[in-house]
Amino acid sequence: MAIPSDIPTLYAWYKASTFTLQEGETCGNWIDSSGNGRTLVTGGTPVYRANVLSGYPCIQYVLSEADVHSLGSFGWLANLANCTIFAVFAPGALGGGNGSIFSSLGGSNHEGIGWNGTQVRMRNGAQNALGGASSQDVWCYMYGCQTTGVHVGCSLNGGSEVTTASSGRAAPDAGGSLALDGGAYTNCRVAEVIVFASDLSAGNKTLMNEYLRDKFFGVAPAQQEQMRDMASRRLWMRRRPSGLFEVTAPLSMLDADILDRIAVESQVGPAPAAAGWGGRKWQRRAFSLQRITCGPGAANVTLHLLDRRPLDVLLWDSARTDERNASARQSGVARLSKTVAFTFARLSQAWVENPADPTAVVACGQRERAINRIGEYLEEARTNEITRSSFAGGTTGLTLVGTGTNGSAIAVDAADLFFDAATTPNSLRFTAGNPHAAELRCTFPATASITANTVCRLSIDHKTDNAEGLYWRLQRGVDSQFWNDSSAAWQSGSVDNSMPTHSDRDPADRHHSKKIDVGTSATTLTLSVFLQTSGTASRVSHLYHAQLENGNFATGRIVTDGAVVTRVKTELSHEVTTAAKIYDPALGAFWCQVTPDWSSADLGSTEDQYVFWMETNGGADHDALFYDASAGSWVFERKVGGSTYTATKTASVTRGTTYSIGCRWTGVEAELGLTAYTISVFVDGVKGTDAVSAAPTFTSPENLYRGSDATFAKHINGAMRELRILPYAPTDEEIARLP
Amino acid sequence: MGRLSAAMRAELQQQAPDVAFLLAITIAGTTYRWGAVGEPGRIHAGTGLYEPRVVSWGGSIERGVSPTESGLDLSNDVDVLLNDHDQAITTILEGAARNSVRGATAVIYLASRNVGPGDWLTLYSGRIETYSQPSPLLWSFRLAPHDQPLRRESVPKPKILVSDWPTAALAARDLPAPILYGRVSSSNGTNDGAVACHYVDSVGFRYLVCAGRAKAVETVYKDGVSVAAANYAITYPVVNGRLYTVIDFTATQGTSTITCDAQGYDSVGDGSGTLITDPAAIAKHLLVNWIYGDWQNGAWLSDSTAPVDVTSFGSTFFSTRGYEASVYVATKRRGVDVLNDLLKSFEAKACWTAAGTITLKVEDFTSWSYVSDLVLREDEISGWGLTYAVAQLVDKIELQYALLPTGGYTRRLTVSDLGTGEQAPEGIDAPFSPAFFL
Repeated sequence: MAIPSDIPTLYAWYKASTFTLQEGETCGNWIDSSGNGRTLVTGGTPVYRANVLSGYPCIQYVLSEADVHSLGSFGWLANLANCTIFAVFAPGALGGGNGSIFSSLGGSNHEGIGWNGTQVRMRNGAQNALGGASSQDVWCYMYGCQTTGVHVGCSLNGGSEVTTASSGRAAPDAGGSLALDGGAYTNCRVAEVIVFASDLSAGNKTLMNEYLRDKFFGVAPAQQEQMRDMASRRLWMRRRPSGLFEVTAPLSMLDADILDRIAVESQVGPAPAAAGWGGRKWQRRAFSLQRITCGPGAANVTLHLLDRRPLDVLLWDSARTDERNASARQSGVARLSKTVAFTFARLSQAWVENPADPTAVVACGQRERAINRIGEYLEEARTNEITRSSFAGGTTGLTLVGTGTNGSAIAVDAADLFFDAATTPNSLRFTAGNPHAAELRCTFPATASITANTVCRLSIDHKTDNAEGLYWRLQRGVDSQFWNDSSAAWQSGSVDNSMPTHSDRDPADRHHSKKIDVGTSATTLTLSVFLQTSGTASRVSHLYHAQLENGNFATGRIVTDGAVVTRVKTELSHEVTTAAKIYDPALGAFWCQVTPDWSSADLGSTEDQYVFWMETNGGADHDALFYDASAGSWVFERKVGGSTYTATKTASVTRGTTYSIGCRWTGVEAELGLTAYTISVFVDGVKGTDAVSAAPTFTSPENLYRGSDATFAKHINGAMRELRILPYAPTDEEIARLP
Repeated sequence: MGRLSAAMRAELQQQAPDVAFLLAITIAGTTYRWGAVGEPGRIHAGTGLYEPRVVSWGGSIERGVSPTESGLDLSNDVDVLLNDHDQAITTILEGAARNSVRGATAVIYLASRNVGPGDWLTLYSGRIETYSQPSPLLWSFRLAPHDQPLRRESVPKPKILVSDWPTAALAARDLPAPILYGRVSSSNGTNDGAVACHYVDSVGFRYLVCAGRAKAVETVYKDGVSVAAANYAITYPVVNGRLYTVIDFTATQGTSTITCDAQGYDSVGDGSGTLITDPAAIAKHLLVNWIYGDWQNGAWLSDSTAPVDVTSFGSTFFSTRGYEASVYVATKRRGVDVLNDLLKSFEAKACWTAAGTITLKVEDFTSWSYVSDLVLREDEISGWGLTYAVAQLVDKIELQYALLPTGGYTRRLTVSDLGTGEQAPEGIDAPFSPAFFL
């Protein structure tokens, strides 16, 4: 089979397979495989798509200035008066473009090949040769040619060349570009482009057509793909270096069925501070059950387990208990994908060590673990708590002031809990007297001395039941100065630092994450939370949790609160609720366990509960998953270009019940047999009513908010566990199997 | 999730679960309930007496798949040894129902006195394959799944008999009438016909394509050259109750070889349905209509006529990936071999369920799904050891596929793992892979 370099007058040759990238990554410059050095310069955001056509990749362009490859010194005007241009591509929607695939610059004077919405074409100024009908998103191979002053010609998929007489050129520019003609951009996917500086002979055109056909449209590409996949699965089975394990287990494992996944927990590393199972590091390995043998005599079962660890890893369980079926054991999950690896570390606080290095994730705070993307521990648990009040012991150890004055009181409220009753202690109820004549104050014990020039972190979880809410005050022991939260500095006079008022407890409140530089001297710190003297009577607030921790890190570290999410070859997210770049709007799913602290019947009509919000199109659009309080349904909402699409699942919600909430979106390839861009929402594995959206636009990186919408105006009130974002579209069955 | 009921799971997770294994055998409508010697006879207030007769359960009750083989395991037998000190079993075996003992239904339960019978786990379900008396006052029952049709060399069942086709050419007589699924075509490939046609009517010039109704006969070839459609018609005669697809020529074709490109069975059976191409659907259809059943005409047989786990064969694993199977069976073979060829062609697995049905499984290594309910702690297991022989590891799969019945395998494909140190290729054939050219 002839290849392009076998044919004289080869001018430029671009193959998507020359990029060494992962699916979805942006492309750099596109090198010229002809050896002539006409490397095309990237506009910035063309995207690499792996394994698209007979196993070959392509480059995707989406109708924007940045989505082009071009070279100003391509030499089009000077050298391509006679030319033949071959391409393998799939046209996208024309949009505002004119479908140019590879052409000169020059606006209406441009020369080159493209697609006009119905047919492939070769254009020379106003002269067009239409090669045949080709549909949007359908891959084809074609060529366009011209002999200046004689004709322009075009052929589609090896068909006859259609020619149109040409009277000459219309002064095209020197530049050559992919997905750009100088006047407009193009939606398209391109796998290969070959440019010859001559109108090739019919024989050579046939050779190049055969080259492209055999390469990308082999006699039976679908069958090849199927068989390659089948053989790959076979090879995976036959090259298992970790092998098949045979273990004897209790009869309760008769619960398992053949090819079920089974996790085996092993203890790894030395035990940190705590004793017993719960305090040690654990590793889970995933297996697939191949054979089960029950021995009635021995009253046990033998399991033949195929190791799947390289493909499915679960590590670290901060909430692990000794109880076999404790639901808490499922929290805290790190996952590793073979192709698009990312890590999810469920932390309540973390310090990003080096944002530029995605593998060095975090240092972490008390009772937490940090892991890197390959599942290794980066940081042991720390014991750095200064004051951590969760009121399990009521007000023991706290200094209370102002109580008893005209009914002012600080009392334990066992009925109003932070998250669910199983994991959280009592709250403190602050009630202003009538009249309220004194500061109603709760002061926590002074801490031990804290190292100079280090950063502490203050977090307070609270709720304002009515009127004005709680304030906080932090005093430094070394010089009795007070922390001014507005200026982020210590000052001599007392400062009442306000907190946002909430009608609900608010775990995503930024007030959780106060970074406090203790100053140049070692010191103690004293924290007070209080209702001010001024203000109306009968104010009520709840305090759920107040914590001051000595991070013992040098000043300048970034302090975060919540999930830290990263992905191979991307930067880290820095903020609690702005975990960026793990989300692919082209294709994927989001899933988590949600334990609402509300029942649907109790919600006001505007009290929507947002699980996550993903910005797209630079924040102009979004994907969001939330409970629609007025409709009484879980909603996966996608906004694209001003239009909103919603997949819904009507369901009542009961406070304290854990729900498995997921949503899924398909891409342009119409995965799972669904229409392209189908959005779905799932509740406990049951799918709701789908919708079909327009194609979303993603301007990476963009922000992911979990537990809130983008304005922090609507949070979910409750607990979220085990968040997963999948960079592929799982089947209904797979989603249903998520725990 | 899981196979255990909540009550049974809770019982088994006790420190010392109170469980027993029970055997129930139904012979000629009478169910005999037996438990292990030493067990109390009345396990649960809600059930009858389980006489303590089982001396041995024969070692183990086993089921599963092989990581290296795709085939359905036929050695899924259980040998139960029974005490017959009062000759009650002898009375059954030599009594009026003696001819109903072999094939009688047998079920083994995992039971608990603390759990209602409805929550007991069915551990094994099958039939009495055979029985013997190894010593006085002892009987041995061999239990096996309902696998006889899989063991018989009986697929395809229909044959070209002279009683059906009195003027069949000598070369065609007594050949099996082929079974055909999916598209089997030489078009765009060898272009000479992929399916051999048997001359079954030398008076009416008719050539048989397959048993049952093919969805379409696309092109007919005479000695490898396509024949104009005006020269023949495709007809579907019912001969002695059995439907066939034949090419009915208008004139004799002499000694020429007749072949065709064709599409196999459709979802309805009369050509009006959709072509069945999904490997999972074909596997079930084969089991129901050709291996366990003997479909002849009319609607396809009901799934309930064969021991198939319908849900698992409804898997969308293959259809979502666009997999299509091409199945052509023209020589008499064991049912299990036909099934295994299909499994092998798509790296699928099949095994027996505890309920005694055949289930389809696929090891999808791309799946991230994680079932964390099934968690074993290191200190709860024993015998951890690698049993996967290194010698079995391979680094390369050399695959032959696209088998044309008239021309052998037409494609080869190799998938290698260049990151391993082995030099151990495995050559496999995929006989029911797609046999057509796009």
